[in-house]
Amino acid sequence: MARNYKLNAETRERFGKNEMNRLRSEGRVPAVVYGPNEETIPLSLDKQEVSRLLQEVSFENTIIQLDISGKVQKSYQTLIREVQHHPYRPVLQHLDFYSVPEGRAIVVEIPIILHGNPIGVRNQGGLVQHILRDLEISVLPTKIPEHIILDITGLNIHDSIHVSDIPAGDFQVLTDPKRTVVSVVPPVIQKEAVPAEGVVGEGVEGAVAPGEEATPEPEVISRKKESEEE
Amino acid sequence: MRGTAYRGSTVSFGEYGLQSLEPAWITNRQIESARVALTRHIRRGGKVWIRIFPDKPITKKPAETRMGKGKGNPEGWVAVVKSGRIMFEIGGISREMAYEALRLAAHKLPVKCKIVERHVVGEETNEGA
Repeated sequence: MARNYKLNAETRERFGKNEMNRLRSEGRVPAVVYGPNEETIPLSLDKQEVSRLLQEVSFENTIIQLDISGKVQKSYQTLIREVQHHPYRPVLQHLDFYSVPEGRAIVVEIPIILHGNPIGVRNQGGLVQHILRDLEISVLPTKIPEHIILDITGLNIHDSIHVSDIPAGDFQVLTDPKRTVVSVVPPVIQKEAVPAEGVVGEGVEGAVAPGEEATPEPEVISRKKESEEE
Repeated sequence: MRGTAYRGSTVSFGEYGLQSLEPAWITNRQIESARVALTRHIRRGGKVWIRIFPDKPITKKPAETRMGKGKGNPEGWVAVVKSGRIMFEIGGISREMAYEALRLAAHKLPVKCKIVERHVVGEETNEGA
């Protein structure tokens, strides 16, 4: 169980796109807090304080104490439900805090962390495929694990670990037990890459895009023209 | 082209991704060229995901033809890419190799690109052998 973290927030009375952009330029991040039987409260937080916390913790499964000042003065035990970023700029746009109900199981996603270098990778040059990175569990707020560590040292090529192989804890797993978490696959050697580049480099029509086999219309038209000329 | 890619703007499959910083039409040849640059650099090991697909047909009128007389002939296929879109992802190799491979692939594309990483707190970097 991770230690508790704290964030200070102020109630917000400004709404709308333009006001929020102004708020962000002042170094604050708009947010809301909500929960079962709770009214939604609009908030604003200090950007630097939030960014530091988000870098430090895995926020989806860490209980954060949210101290609200301003019009409403209250303290909540919360989980961050959603973080909205700008698609490509390092700008934090909005946060959703979920007020955790006491004594009631909640659904959270826990990161699965792989530990060790598998035999199949060390001896035969295999490749680790980490397919499922988060596990959905139902757990009491006080018993949320920080992460699940899977030891993959014993995995050979073509071996895999499924959700059902994950050791039990103080939680109920909701993810399908048949799903593969990690597997070790044989190395893929790209042999056909050399002729493919030759074709592209020469500018010959018919350089095939990854999925173009299914839709070869442009090539067919140009080939017809060539054959007609001949 | 207006707007940013709200979907497909996070690294979802691999560990490193190539993100577009400009909007553009990326042709099938450019995608293929970037893919070859990626796979040639990593040689063996590693896995590549291509997250864009050229599903938009493009027409063009022949050279030295007058305007009118109907629409041009289909010339090729493009993928519509908006700013923020992750175009390629790569996983199962070391950070240095992934950065170099994605840098080489970025040179084959007609847009400014940024290399982005999946960030998981507390995760060990499982670098390929």
